[in-house]
Amino acid sequence: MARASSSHKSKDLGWALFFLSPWLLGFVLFTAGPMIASLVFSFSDLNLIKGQFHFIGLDNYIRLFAADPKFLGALTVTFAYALIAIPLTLVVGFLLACLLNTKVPGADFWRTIFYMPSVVSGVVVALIWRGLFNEKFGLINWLLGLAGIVGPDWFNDGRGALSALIIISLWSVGGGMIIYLAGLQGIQTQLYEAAELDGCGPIQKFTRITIPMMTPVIFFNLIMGIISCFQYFTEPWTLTRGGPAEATQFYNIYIYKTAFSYQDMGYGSALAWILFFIVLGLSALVIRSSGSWVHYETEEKA
Amino acid sequence: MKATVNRTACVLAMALAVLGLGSCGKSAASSGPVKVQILVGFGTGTDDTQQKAQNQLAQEFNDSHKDIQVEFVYVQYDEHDSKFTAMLAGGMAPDLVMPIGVMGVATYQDEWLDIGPYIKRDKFDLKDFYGSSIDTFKSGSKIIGIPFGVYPSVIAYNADLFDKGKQAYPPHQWGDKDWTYAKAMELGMKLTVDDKGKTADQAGFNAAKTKLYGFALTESLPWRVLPSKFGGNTLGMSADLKTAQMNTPEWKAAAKYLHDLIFVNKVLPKYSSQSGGGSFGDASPIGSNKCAFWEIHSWMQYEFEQWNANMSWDIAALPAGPTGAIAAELNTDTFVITKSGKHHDQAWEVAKWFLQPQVMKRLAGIWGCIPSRQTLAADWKTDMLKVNPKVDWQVFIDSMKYAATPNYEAWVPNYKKVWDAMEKFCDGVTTGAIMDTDKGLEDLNKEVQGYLDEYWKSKK
Amino acid sequence: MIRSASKNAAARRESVLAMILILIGSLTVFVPIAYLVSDSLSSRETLRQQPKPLLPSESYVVTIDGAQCFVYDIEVNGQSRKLAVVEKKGSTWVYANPDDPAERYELGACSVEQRARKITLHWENFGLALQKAPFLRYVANTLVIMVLVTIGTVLSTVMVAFGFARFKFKGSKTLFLILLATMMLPSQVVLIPTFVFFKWIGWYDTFLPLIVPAFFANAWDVFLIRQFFMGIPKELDEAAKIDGCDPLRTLWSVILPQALPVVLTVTLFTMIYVWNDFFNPLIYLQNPKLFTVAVGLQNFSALYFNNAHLQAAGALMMMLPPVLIFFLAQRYFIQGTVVSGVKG
Repeated sequence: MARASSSHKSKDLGWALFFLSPWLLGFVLFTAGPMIASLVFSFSDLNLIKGQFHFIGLDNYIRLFAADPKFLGALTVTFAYALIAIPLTLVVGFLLACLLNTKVPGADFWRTIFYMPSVVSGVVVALIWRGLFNEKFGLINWLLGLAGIVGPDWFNDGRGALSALIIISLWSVGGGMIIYLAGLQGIQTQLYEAAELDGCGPIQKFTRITIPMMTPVIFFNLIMGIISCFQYFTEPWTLTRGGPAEATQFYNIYIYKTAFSYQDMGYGSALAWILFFIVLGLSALVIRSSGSWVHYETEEKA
Repeated sequence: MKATVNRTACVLAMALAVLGLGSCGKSAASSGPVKVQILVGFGTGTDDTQQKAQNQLAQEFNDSHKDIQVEFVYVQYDEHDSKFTAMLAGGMAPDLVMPIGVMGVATYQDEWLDIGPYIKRDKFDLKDFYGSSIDTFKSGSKIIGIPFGVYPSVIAYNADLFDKGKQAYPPHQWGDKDWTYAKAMELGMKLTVDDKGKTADQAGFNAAKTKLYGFALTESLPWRVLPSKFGGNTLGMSADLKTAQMNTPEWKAAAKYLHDLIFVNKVLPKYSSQSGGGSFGDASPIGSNKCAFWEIHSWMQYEFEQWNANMSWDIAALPAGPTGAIAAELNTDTFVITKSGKHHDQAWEVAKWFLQPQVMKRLAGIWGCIPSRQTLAADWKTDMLKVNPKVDWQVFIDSMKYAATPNYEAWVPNYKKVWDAMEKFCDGVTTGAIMDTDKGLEDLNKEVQGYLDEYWKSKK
Repeated sequence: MIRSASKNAAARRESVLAMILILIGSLTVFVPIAYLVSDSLSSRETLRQQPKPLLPSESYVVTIDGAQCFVYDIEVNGQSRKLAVVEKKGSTWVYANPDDPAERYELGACSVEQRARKITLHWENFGLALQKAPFLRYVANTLVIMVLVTIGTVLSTVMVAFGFARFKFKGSKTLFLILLATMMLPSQVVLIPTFVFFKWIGWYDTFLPLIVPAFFANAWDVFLIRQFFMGIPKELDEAAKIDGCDPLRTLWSVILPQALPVVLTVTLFTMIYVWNDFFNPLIYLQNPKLFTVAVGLQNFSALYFNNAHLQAAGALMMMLPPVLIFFLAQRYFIQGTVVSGVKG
């Protein structure tokens, strides 16, 4: 019996390796090398233009914490954005998906409308929004004006620029919505029918069935939201270049400038690895907490 | 178990086969003509109409040369930093980069070849070129580039708005001692009009309801421009480039001027050149028809057609600073030869071919610049007059005599960090984040000193 | 009976509320897109106006005595008229009636804003944008990459996700964390080493760096699919096992049919990702004959150039295929439920 179970186990391991093999191979071939290389760079003063490379130990990391106000500035901007944008896009995307999962007339059409912004490329996003956010002639301030509010001078103002970016990220929430929609398809309608027989109203059905059943997808969108928010780059880069006066200098913009504009690949790599550990830490917290709120049919904890 | 091992092995084998397939793709080393690659993307030259015209020139070169063949490689301006760095890291640097301006040259200062020895060897004649344009690419004893074209700066003005405000046009003649920045501010106030028709110099002027603005400085004002106009040291540091000097009285006067222009005299709305919060939205100041006069470079010529349709306009000389001196900003486009490229000699031959007057004339036409050979100035003027006979094009040519040296984009240690620090300061002033400009400059000076120290420490 | 009627009424109220919310939301989302549409039909000059007109309207000229004259909206004797300016005498302008050029008035000067406007739609922008590059070739290139990348991604990510969702062994949690961690390092700092690697194995200026990695699963899709697989009850696997299915067969005939929505989502996302990807082709390709549509469409932008109208037209055309594919494909994976949750 014991032998059978152990052979069963090794057979399982064999299957596991088989299924994981594409990723394991890809990791070894394409991913691990460059990651290790950048880790090595972070302990050096690599400059590709000068062709300079010396190991300088922990100097980059020391400089980062001891003598770089821009590092702290970039971190602050990124956290401020993440704290608002992550929950906002998470909730709005989810509610939108629930709304569009109903059999309203023309649902196909409405879903497509909401999805459209997420296929607009970054450069074009800038083209569209800069005019809308114009202080004097933009549609947004005109609308605010109708409501009796004097709109900010968006891109000429630090807070304004950050708020504008949050509004834009909300606009392209359609990608997350699609994932929720896919998740909603997996919920058995019998569950709702049973709840109805128990006398549950729509709100109860939503909180007792929809939300728990969707937790694996919410978990996915939360983790991915953290990862992508901390690497936010394309929109601020094309729209603001980090300005005005570095008010939207996100962490990744600072990395890009350091690595390519300042040609300080070593320091840029150190910055990147610090970000790596910040995101890893945050994700680990979420994963650890997930045991208490993510509900899997397989009763495994992530 | 065995079956799964086999399957796993199968996936492995497939992976290796795919990798192997790729790696045996390119190996044939070619003999025959040397291929010289020219990277375009550090400046203009990437629009499809430009690409076609440049490729045509390459074709002509290739037809007339047996030993060298030229190929243009294009990358969009926004991605040129990453592509160029990747090419260098991958050991396949392009042989030439063009067109590239002073800033692009300074950013990668260490990567460009000194072409001085070639100039000497071939006795290449530089006399025909604008002296100031050659100076912009001298670095110590080295010469890094010879420009194909120049983009001098002037004042562009909307004559209709001057007529409406009953003001005399600014002078076309350079060197007018009465035409100063103080005067420009005054004039700007008289041409800044609110909804009730009151001007900025009158009592009861309502700045919140401004309909027409008076005077705009270069739209993406690089900060260093202004101190040099006010008699300051353009580079903002000592001659040995070791001590920051960005808190001098001249620098402070320049910052105060910019601040007053926007926040005290309200001649110009606040703006951010960093985040693209342009004062006139998607339009340029003159193009918007809401600004009376504006400092421009000749590369604005892509808008001239539209101006023709909307207004009568002309160009005038730049004002003098408080010391009476005139400093005109100059942009230039050159070629550079990469050190890591493998065909220095051939690259120089290619560059020489493009520098021939007739080829240069065509290049200048493609890029929208003024040829940097003085003998081509008359031709350029004739061409411009054909399109717009009412504009005094000579003002652009004369601007070359007042070109500020060192160039405002000239190299300094830790170039891009210093540059970004200055732009951040300037953005702070133009958006109102920095209202105390003196203190702002003290902070800037401290920050820049840090970058200088960092650079010289690493040199030891 | 009465209860069900009131229930129906409640359901109807819900649907009306939902409809109102959807309408408001989609209007908000669509306005910026409408701007893009308007931009794509505008002339270069219209886009450089301040304020930019909501509809692509332009000033126009009429020919009077052989000269091109702009038409202005001007008030004459308390009447609003459309008159052409035939002569400017300083701040006094001469206006003429375009229909009867002899009818003239000498009045004060006008500003450009007072020019009469006509809505003019520049459909030719789309044609012009398409002439900017050999698009047929670029579309073919993009399709080749897209098909291979999509096949590779779907095959490999489904496999790997199944591995992570269904097999527990020592270290499997760590492996999963490593999978997630590969997404956490900003791509800017791995770009150069990755590039050097591909150059070193001779893949530069070929499609291989764009295609081959797709066959080795990417973390994002694996994570997503795994989440869905975890939501499928394990009893189904057990039943299949008892029927004598090996895991591969279980994946194919039991799990996949259950997870079709997510597999289709991944397919769709991959196709759209490849279609829009601009950066990778730009970095790894050099020969213009190998370019993709996204790279080709960048040809409108250059320093000292102003092609915003063509950029908008190009962007709109770029958007069309993904939007169309999404519109048609969604019915295969989004069925939708009635508000109250009962299938109707």
